[in-house]
Amino acid sequence: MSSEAASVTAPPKGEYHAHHAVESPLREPLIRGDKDYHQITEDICSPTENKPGLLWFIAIGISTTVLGVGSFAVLATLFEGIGMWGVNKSIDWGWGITNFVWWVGIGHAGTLISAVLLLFRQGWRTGVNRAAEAMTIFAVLCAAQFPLLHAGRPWTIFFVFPYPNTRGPLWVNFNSPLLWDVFAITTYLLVSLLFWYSGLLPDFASIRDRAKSKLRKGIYNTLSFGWIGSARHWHRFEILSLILAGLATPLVLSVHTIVSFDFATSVIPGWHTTIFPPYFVAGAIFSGFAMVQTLMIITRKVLKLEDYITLGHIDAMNRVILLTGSIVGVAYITELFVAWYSGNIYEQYAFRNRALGPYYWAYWTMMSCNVISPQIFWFRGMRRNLYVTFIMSIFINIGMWFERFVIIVTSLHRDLLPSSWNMYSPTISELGIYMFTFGLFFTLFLLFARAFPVIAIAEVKTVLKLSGENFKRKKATH
Amino acid sequence: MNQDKHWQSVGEAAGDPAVEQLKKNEFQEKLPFDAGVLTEEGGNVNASRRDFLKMFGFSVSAATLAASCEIPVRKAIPYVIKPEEVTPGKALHYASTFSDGSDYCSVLVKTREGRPIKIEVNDKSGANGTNARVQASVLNLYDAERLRGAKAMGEDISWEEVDKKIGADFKAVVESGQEIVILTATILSPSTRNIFADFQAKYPTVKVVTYDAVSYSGMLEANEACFGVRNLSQYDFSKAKTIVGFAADFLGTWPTGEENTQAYMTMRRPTAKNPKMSRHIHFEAGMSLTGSNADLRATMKPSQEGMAIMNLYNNLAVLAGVEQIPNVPKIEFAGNSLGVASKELWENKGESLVLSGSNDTNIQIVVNGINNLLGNYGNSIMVAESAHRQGSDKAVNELIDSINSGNVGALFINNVNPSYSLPNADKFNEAVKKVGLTVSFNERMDETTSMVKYACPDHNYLEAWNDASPVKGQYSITQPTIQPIFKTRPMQESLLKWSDAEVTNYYEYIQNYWQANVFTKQSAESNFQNFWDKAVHDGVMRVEDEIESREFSANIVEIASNVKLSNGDGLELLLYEKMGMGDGRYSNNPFLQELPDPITRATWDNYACVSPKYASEVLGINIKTEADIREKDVIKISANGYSIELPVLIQPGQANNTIAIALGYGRTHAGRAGNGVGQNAYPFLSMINGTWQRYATGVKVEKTGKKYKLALIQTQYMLDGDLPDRTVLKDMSLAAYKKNPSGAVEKIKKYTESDHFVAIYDKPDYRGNGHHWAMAVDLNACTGCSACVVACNVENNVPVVGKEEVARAHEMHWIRIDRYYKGDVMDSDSIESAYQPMMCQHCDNAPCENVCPVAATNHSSEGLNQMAYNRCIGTRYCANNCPYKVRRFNWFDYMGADSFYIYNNDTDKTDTYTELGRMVLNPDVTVRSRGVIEKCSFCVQRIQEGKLNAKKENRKLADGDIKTACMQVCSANAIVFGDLNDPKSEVSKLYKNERTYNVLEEMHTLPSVGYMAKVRNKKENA
Repeated sequence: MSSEAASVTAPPKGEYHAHHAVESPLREPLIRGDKDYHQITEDICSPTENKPGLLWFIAIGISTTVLGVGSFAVLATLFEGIGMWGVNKSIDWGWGITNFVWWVGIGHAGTLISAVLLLFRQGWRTGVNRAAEAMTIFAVLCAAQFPLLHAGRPWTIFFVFPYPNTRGPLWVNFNSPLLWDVFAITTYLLVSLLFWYSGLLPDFASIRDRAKSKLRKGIYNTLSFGWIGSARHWHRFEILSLILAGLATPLVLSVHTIVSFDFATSVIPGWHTTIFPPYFVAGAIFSGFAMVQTLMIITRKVLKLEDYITLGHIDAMNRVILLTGSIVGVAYITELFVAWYSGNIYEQYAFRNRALGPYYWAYWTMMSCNVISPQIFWFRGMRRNLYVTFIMSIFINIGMWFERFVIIVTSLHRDLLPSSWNMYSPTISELGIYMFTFGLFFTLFLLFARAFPVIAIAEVKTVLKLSGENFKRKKATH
Repeated sequence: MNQDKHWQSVGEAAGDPAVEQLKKNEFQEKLPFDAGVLTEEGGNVNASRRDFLKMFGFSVSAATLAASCEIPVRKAIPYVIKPEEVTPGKALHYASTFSDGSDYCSVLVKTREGRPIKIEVNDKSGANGTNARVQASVLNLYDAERLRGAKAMGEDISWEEVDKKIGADFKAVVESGQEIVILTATILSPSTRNIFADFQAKYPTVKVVTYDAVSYSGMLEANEACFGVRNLSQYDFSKAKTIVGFAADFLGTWPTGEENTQAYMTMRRPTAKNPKMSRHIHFEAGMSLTGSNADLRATMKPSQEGMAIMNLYNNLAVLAGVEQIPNVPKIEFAGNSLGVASKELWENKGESLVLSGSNDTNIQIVVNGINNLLGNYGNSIMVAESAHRQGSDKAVNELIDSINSGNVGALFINNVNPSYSLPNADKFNEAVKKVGLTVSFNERMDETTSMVKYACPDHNYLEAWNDASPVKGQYSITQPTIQPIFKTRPMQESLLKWSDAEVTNYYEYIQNYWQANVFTKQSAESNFQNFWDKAVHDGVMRVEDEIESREFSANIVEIASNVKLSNGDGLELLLYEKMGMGDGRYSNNPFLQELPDPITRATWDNYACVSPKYASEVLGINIKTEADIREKDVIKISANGYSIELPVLIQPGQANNTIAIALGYGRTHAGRAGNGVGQNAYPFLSMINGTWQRYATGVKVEKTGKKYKLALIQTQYMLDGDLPDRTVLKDMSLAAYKKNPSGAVEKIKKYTESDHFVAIYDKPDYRGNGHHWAMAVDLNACTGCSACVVACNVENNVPVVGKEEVARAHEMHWIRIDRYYKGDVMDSDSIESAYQPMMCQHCDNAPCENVCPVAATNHSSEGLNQMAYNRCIGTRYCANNCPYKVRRFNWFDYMGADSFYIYNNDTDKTDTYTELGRMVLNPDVTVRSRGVIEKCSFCVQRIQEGKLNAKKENRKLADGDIKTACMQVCSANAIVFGDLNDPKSEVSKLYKNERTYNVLEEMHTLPSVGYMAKVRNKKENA
């Protein structure tokens, strides 16, 4: 059984992983412990085969409850209208779009890890890419709820797609950043899904090969598209991965750039800012990695995958967090500088109001969570401390949520005409829809953790010979 | 016989020919049809299959229709006199008159398919506009809370029955010799007054007592004392170069507010060639609409008014060299304004006006004395020619005493609501119970009608014939525009019936009256029928009424010694009327309830206005942060033995140590929309010298610790910090204007016309070809009266959303009047206010258009920014990106057939008249569904109509053919609409005016609404 599994799902013995030929002794191993191919398969497949533990049941119980309760808010909004929300004549977007941008941002880490790091040949990505990609897809699905639900007439949402129609034909408005959003998000979701799924094919085959019941075998066989592990399969798999990585890489930059255009191309002070594209991309990676940390720290513990998702992985991601967090910090300060330097009274007021106006608390929450607190990761000990990392990841998620809230709400609530100044506070419906997306996200993630291999088995195996203790010992004795 | 054949009966088997015949028929048995219907002559032929199918088809579909489909209930409203020219889809206009004892206006009623849907201005009357209440009055017609027939003791009763019962009671009262009292609102109708006179002639015990909730008794009695006639004077503001007002809201809630505004504004339009304008100095405690438009405004406590006016008299007496009023303590206000006022009045003798809002007879006599000193009578004031407001506080009080002493046997109540609006309503209510026969003609089961025995509801003015004569020589006709919706009857007909008059038809009565009294005063028409037809057609008629010359005679010095003097210590309470709500009679009109007060910008409530200083120092409110919050502190206010709890509203410009509360709220029997809105402040009125004064002294305030949510439309008020630099509201002093007429807008023009101002896109080419619709708004002319807001609501089917929704900033108004203050917020004397009507700017480079993902909002070739409602998916991106925040989103289904009544507080769903309120909807304007954005369309339906009319008449569209609803009702002519591509149009000329700028011009949105900077008549440069 195991030999068959190894033959089908282990990569062929070619030299295509040449970049891993030597691991520097200075580097931290990517996998810990004496693993062999079979052990890896065993470790990663077993959570899908055994009865889930109590923790999983508790977790899925909570997340489906949250999903169920939240769906009342969704239904209320659909039946009664956007009036159920706290948005008003001056602040037409509130939590809905804040949450949308936040979730899209979270969805950034997955593609970055799988595509960019693949192209840059970062071996450490293998431990986390699968879960990060899943997280991306689920986050984008959560994000997609908001444009749909926040529309006044969600049943007409198909108007945003440019398709031949009987209304003239009436085309969409290609000038609108919201339309660009439609293209950007759907493309991103599609490519991420393809990338994720194609990576899963050999691993599905592994599970299929280990399956004991006929049904299970059948399901996983279908899921794996009949993968048999031939050299041609592996060849195409590698080519596809590279092509998709190539396609996905610009998306990492484009998606949040385009989301930022929703604001940057407008005329509202505080939105109309050329710095937004890089600032949003950095922020998205920042928040995406934070979410990966949150999930990984729990997953590795619950599914006992500490040997595959090592402290080295955590450390590496914390470095990315430190870098992107600092970029975001520079962007915040640049905005303030430019507002002052521009001499534009509207711009100056918008930023003074952000920091000192009625929503000052949101601004300073954002500043302290996103700029000040990640500076702790300059210290190695902190980067490798799981508790600190976990708390920081939550802080960053909160901070990044507030960043979007600050941009959207504080810019709108006191914009150009003082007569229209207003305050905004969410209603229970908005809170409920946010909860709904949390429920959706965690339910999907928990189901994923049960049914899919959370670590890319085939990819981890590629680094085994370099990183596995027993292989290293073998090499040393030669 | 073929043995294989199956047979069904013995007959068949035997080959019976009858059976053979039957077999050929499809149905062998006789069909169960009524012989008369389907059988043919001869009786033996059954219905054919075709007939059967016909019958079957009919009965099934009829049964289905009857059983399952909801057949729309037909509410056909026939014409009174069916006009021959009626065409579905085409509006008909009827000249008519709005007159309710409080307001008067000659109007055109626009009807569509027999429904009055809009009140427009009757150009023939010479009026420019109407006020907000007249605009909203069309909805009163469709108010399902009106009484739907006569009632006796609260029970429905037929008119015949009620006539019988009242007739019997009435006879008994006449025989007993007790007094018969008609307690009525001011009657402008000469015919009605004649009916009362006939009534009095027939029954000598009849007394007519006129009662105005907001009384002008003081002024009337002052005129009686000075000129011997108990009428209000007519003021000609177009002849006044200096106007000094003491708490006189003559541009706002005075009976002829809009006429005054129209005349006032003729003196307020400086041009570069002739930079002159009238000067308006105002003294008041609360911030009134009129005060907020003054050039110099000083705060004065209500109790100080007498002293202030006597000081003014004395100042002028010195200049005139006449006797001063002795023993008057000196008083002066901020900026030496009383001294300035005296000087400037004297400089403009005969071309000035001094007005006071006081209801104290003695004070008004001194005011008359001042105007007499200044020689204004006969120049800027026509003495006592107006028929407005005839109410007498004294007579009403005497009536109560008279009832209590058992002298009154019958009380007829017409169009007044003393049980609500009398400060001593309890006393009145007690007294009413003692009267044998009590009848109310009021339109609804209001506070008073629910106290009386018989309710005999009058028609709405849109259902009735009537006439009016507001001033001598001017007559107008009210004609019905719809068959009465409910079983109501004109008050006049009821009286005619009960008094067994010869003519019981009021229409005939009016005609007879006109033939005898009006027709004879003119010579243009020799045939009465022609004269009458012309009067009905035009709505207004001017005849030569003889005007007596009246001489001023009053001993000011002696009378002034009776004026109550006060040093103005302590907290004082001011009671005032709001522009929308007036005296409270239209409480159940949701348009008026939701009309934001021009000054406080609050809807659906009254509240305690206090000065910022008082709020922060006495009430301990943080005035820096409170503006953001709609939850306001509640205080308990006690005075004159009455107390209410109201939320605090901080009002810049309010005199310190005063509280202002609006009258007209706290109704209990107004209807679903009006009940329980705000608190009744009438009981706070104080009786001084026999008249009700609209203020109280000895006021106590307690903090309650409670909070109350106010439905404010605008929360921020001050233009401080860097806000004046924004290109929002530009203003300048007249002194600065004389030096440089474009001074206020120079800076922004320099910027937007410089080479540094670079746009990526080319200028759109709407300007130059075809039409380019545009609007010019003169900020100098806009008084903030808000008639345009209601006009727009009615014209464009703008939803009313109710208090809760307004408090959540969900109101839907397409046009709003932004109000800004300048000055030191803590110094009420320094506050300057300005109004800015704000509607969709129809930007040629519209930020809303390029962000809509589905192109639901786009630009027409005529420069209109238009909305395709059924394309809108409701992303609200356009609303966010609108710099002017004029786009409104349908948060709920405000106008839906199933939900309309919720937001309008209309009659509930089970009522037959649930959809009555929707009858007011304009069929030319789409009713918007939930989830779409809407906004000002520049009344595109009117533009289309204007263009079509021109085309049909085969002529070019002329400037002024098309008037938007807001422009049409503006008494001040502050809004001008037209074609910018026509260089001769008014709007093109105004666009080139040196004062014109665009709001937020530096955003390069290229708006189609130009604003003309406000000019304040101030001497100093600013």
